[in-house]
Amino acid sequence: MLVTTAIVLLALIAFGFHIAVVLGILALFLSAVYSPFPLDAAFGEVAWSHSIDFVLVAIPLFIMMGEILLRSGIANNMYAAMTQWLSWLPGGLMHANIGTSTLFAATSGSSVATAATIGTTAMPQIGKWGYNERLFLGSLAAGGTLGILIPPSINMILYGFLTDTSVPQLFLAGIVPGLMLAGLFMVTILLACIIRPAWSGRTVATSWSARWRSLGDLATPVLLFLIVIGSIYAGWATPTEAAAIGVIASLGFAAWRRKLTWAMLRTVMEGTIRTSAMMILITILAFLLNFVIGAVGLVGQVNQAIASLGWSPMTTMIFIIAIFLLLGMFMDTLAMIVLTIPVVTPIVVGLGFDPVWFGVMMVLIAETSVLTPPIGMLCYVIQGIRRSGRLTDVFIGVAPFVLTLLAMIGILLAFPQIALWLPETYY
Amino acid sequence: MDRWLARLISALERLSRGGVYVGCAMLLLAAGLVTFEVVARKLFHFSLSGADEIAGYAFAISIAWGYSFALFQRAHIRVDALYVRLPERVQRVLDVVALAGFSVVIGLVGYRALMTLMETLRLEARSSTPLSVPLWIPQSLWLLGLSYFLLCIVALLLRASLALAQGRLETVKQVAGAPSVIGTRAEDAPASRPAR
Repeated sequence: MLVTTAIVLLALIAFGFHIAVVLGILALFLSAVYSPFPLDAAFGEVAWSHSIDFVLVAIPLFIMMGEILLRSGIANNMYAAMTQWLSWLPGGLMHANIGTSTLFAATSGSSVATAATIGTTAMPQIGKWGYNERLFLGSLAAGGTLGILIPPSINMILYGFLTDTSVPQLFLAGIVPGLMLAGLFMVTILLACIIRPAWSGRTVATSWSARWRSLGDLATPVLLFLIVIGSIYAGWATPTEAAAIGVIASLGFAAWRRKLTWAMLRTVMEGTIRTSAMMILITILAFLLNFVIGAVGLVGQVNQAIASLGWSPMTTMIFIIAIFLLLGMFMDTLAMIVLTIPVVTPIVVGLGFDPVWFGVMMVLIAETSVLTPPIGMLCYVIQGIRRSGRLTDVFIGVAPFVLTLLAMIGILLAFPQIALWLPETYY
Repeated sequence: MDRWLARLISALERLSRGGVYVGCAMLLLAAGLVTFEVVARKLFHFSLSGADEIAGYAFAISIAWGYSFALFQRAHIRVDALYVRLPERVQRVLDVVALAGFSVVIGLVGYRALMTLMETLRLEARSSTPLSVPLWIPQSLWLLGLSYFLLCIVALLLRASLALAQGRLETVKQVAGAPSVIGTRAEDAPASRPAR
């Protein structure tokens, strides 16, 4: 059953089917071949009950919140403010790239949105200040990945939904590794620019008066973060309710800045639905597959196969991570997560690992996979904004940050408490 | 025939865009309702229950109607690592096969969803919540969105297979090709339209 399933899966993927279709056909195939009775009779009910699931409502709402911040220019002002505070470091504006990404990540649940927003804002600065273009592009792509590690995070909502893990706990678990990773990215830039001073562009003029003035622009995202994440941990709201509050609050901020127009709202709506519909369709079909996988007992077979290897839990985990990193080079990250999580997470938990910890690990793996060639979504996004030169430049520029991410994966493997102490302290 | 199909597709696309505004407006209203409920619960200690249920229905309907928009925007992801390395002609055949697969899967889910709706109607089922919503209302609006999505896929499939049969590969590419071969990636969209 395992080998056949893997072959069918690979063939479908090689043919270039849509991910939603791959999931659907795989579900039908498993049900037709391995189930004593046809399971697709339940598809209508399963699809309906998940289409109205309140947990999933958070996904379009968080996407909408990010769109509103982008289209109302709040993100632009954040970048200008971060420039004032961080550009004195060796590496200059590249630190502002990471800093703004970190802050934006705290109000956005998607790495594509984070990279696109900060990338659009920062890109014109490369030539102006004489930076090493590759490293600058790399810092933008790397900064974008923080979007899914620092809460809110759509990937964590999906993981929580597919594995029945607490989303608030996952969010808390992402905070420390997220800030740590942002710090490590800045250290990476710092080291690169100390070794090669020519990579660090000319210094941007800053002043203390401009710094104090810019604090107002940083206040908006910080306030939004406090409202959204604060309301979850004050016990006032579930993640979905917090997302709804976040949408209303960011609309308020946009209106206050007089940026709330019909044209802006239409762009926000189109962007929101385009991304959410794609994600939700995949999620619903992943759930249909999940349902079939559960019914035909595929997880048990994988478990037996792994147990027969006789490896220690740590060896198995390192093996799983290596496979994921390899898969992530060739597969879309979202597809990889929804296809594998329903099978892999029960195994990992069976080996004695914490599901919340593994959720954070999965997000780190996802972050690496959106940066690695040949399929590296965030590098495509950055190249898409740049519209000149070769894609290879971005992949070369992002290489040091990929090493940083691998180091972070190693650190989290060795010290799981980095992710777990905050949720364990709180709950 | 091709021109007629092209006109039909552009009409379908316009309607799906309209669906986005209506659906997203519903989602916004639901967000407002949920926010109001949380604030009322915490600050004024009165509970108006049911906002989450209504938000669930608004979500289901708006997303179901959004599937077709995502289709026209080429936002539904395809894994194209191998696909892009294949010869042009094979790529075009796979484009049509992918759309055919899409219509089969969505057709089946849609058919099962119709069965669910029939069952709801037969039992006159209501949600087991204080609101006690007659479930056929949100379910039929949801199914309508799904059916519209199927209609759009089939229209694209017809135009692409006709073009393939007549050897007009460029048309197949424009109608059914993966974003990577057309030169616009849906995910780049936020970037290609910078913030105003």
